[in-house]
Amino acid sequence: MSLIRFLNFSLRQSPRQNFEIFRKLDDAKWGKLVGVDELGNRYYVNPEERYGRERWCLPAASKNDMDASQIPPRWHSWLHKVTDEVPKATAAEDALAMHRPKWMVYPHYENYTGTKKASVTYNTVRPKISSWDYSVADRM
Amino acid sequence: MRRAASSPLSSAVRRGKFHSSSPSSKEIEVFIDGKAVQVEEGSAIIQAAEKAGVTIPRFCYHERLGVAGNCRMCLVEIEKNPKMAASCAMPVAPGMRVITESAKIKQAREGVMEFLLANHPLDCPICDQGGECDLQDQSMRYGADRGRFGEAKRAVEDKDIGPLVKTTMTRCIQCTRCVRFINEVAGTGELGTTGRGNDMQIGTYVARPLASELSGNIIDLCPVGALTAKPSAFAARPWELTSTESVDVMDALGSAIRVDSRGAEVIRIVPRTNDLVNEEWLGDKARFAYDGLKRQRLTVPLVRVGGRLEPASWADALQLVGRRLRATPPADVAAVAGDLADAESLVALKDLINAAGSERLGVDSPIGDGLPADVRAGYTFGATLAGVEDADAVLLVATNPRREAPVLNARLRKPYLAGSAVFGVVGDAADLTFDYDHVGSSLGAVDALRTGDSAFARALRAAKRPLVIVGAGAAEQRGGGAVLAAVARLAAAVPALLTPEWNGLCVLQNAAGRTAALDIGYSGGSADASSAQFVYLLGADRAAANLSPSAFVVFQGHHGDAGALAADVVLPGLAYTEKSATFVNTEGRVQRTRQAVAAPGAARPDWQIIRALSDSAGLPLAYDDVAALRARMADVCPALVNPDVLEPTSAEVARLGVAQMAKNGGRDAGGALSLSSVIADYYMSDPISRASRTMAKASAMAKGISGQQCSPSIEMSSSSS
Repeated sequence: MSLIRFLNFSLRQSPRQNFEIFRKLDDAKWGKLVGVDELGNRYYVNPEERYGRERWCLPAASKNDMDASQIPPRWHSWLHKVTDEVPKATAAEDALAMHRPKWMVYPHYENYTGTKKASVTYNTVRPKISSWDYSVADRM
Repeated sequence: MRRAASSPLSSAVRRGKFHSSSPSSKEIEVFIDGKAVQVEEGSAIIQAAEKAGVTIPRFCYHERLGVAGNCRMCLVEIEKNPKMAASCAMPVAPGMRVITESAKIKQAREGVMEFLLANHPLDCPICDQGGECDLQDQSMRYGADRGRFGEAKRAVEDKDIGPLVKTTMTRCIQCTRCVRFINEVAGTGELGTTGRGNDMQIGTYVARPLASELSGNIIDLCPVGALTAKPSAFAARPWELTSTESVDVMDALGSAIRVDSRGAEVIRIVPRTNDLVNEEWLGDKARFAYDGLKRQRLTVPLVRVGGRLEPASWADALQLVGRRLRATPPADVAAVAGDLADAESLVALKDLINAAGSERLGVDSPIGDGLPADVRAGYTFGATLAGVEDADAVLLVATNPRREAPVLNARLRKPYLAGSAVFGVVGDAADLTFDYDHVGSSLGAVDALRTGDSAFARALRAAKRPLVIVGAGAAEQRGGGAVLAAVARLAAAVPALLTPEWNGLCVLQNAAGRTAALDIGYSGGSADASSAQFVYLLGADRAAANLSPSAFVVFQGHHGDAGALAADVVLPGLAYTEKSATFVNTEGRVQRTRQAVAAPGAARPDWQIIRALSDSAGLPLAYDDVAALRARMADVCPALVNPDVLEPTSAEVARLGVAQMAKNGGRDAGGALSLSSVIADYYMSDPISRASRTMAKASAMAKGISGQQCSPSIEMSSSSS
């Protein structure tokens, strides 16, 4: 990292914000805030950056919990320059603007694979041991 | 009678002898592959080779069956003999030099194998024997990689021989092990061969099921997949199974078993070799009732609320029982030990009930006198199970060993086949697979033997090793003490019954938990549970029929049966495959089961339930782990912590047992005394087998057989000389 880049980084933003960016992204990034998604992830743009690195995101989740799948698909498109149109504040507004049917609108959630919230199909195996049917029991 | 009663002690029928006619203990020297080995004169070469550590391949030879010599797989060379010999059928001669491995032998065995495989289907991938098949194993060594047999393979129609044994007769290689077993050991004689050469078939001429209680053993004997277990057909491959060496509790013999399980399921149960108990046989109930372990199980504690049982937490159920135990006057507290109770929980329950101030501890017998529990010789099988082979006159009183202990019945056949013993029966004249004198159906017949002049009475009094087997069930009925008293009077008249060398007085128990209960100090009777206000049923189902309507009944057990129906609180315990517990068999041999599968649902080890209950009753027991509990067991009965050791009974102690039997004359039951076996249906005698579908089918089949046939193959001989 060059001295100029580091000075730019440290002088333009507050030290507290710089600390968070450096900790989460391992890089000295600065830019103009473009928007915030429903999960609280913040999206920035910096035309001074090298090509391909202008749009970047500061995840809302902590350093340990952040994951690429936390980016909603609308913001994913914007980040990767699929579109230049900045997504609206909510998914519903976006869906309206893009003429998507309502059933396609649902709150984004991350990929839960490997966590306790992971989807597990219900068991279809017959129980190996059948219990005594006590409901029939009338005292002999 | 068949033979003179004074024929010499026949040890020839014991394992390992080639002849059963002329016992000889002379040792001769033979050379197996140049190695000198001393074997008994008259042994077969294959036995000498076993002793020398050489295993000769074989299909038809089995050390516990007669020699057939028809598979020719065990061919060996004998020096200076031009032809090869079948080592199973060739007796050794002094100085004989045997070669078991040579190019010539290999070629001969390959020829035998090629002929066997010519008609054997190549269906190993769908055969249940796959992985434990003798033919499969030996074809790896002697099989060719191609066949020269171009014709169509022989196909044989499958036989239906009952709900236990599945047949795929096309796979049969005609070794006739099953035929020899059914005719020699089981003694029911249904199986035989028809036809010759290529047309030879094994079958039950014509289409009838096996009536033997030992029929499952032909599955183990079959070296190929012709006979496999029907209940576990296509259930598992042998290499998927976890084997656990354990002990059977379906009868009082405590046969050695191996429980094969996969996950939480018992897939099959097969016998282990224990020459002192079951040799290598196992009764069908012990082998096939395991599917009952998966049905009708008690998996959660239940508490009766408003006349109906409702699930409850362990804490609530134990608190309730503890409260009621404390609230009941000590004189009204009773506990009944069931047929399948293990020694650990019996000791814990006795300690708890004693701590509550009560001594009313009984066993799950019909209300009656019960067995005297003061002297062990008065309720155990004095001659030991292996010892019955040495008997030369056997009297069976009020017992049907075929139903109560089929493996023992097979042992009783040995002196019968050797002609070294005569048999008499007091009680029902059932088919026991051996000839006997039906001495009588009433108790007077026992007394008549003391002075009587019948052939059997004379033979019994003249016998060197007489044996009297009394069914414990008969002694447990009302007035049953009279049965024991009659036997005690007979013992006084037959001095050879109790000598320093021979203890011929045998009580045949019919429940696995009974001997341990009597050892520990439960009374042989029912402890008058019918009048108690707090009754603890430790797996006791029979006692549930005679309880006071106002009594608070706790049932601890593993199956929902009569006991659970009658209970106010049901505490789910474990079955014998799920716990490591101590059992005492009818001879007093202490053995331990091992846990094979996990406990179902919320069920807990039985002694731990009683330990937890003692806390909620405010009477905490002094042991928290199984080691401390076993130390307590050693205090109560030192034998209980010496597994697999059988302490011999001295003649003096045995006489004390007789005196105890005589003392307990019993109330007069009038003419109502029954000398029939207490087990009316072999296949349905305990909660596990009653919950088993396989046993239900077998029971229905057995009833069908007894309905159809009046006299299968054995004629009852009445006293003719």
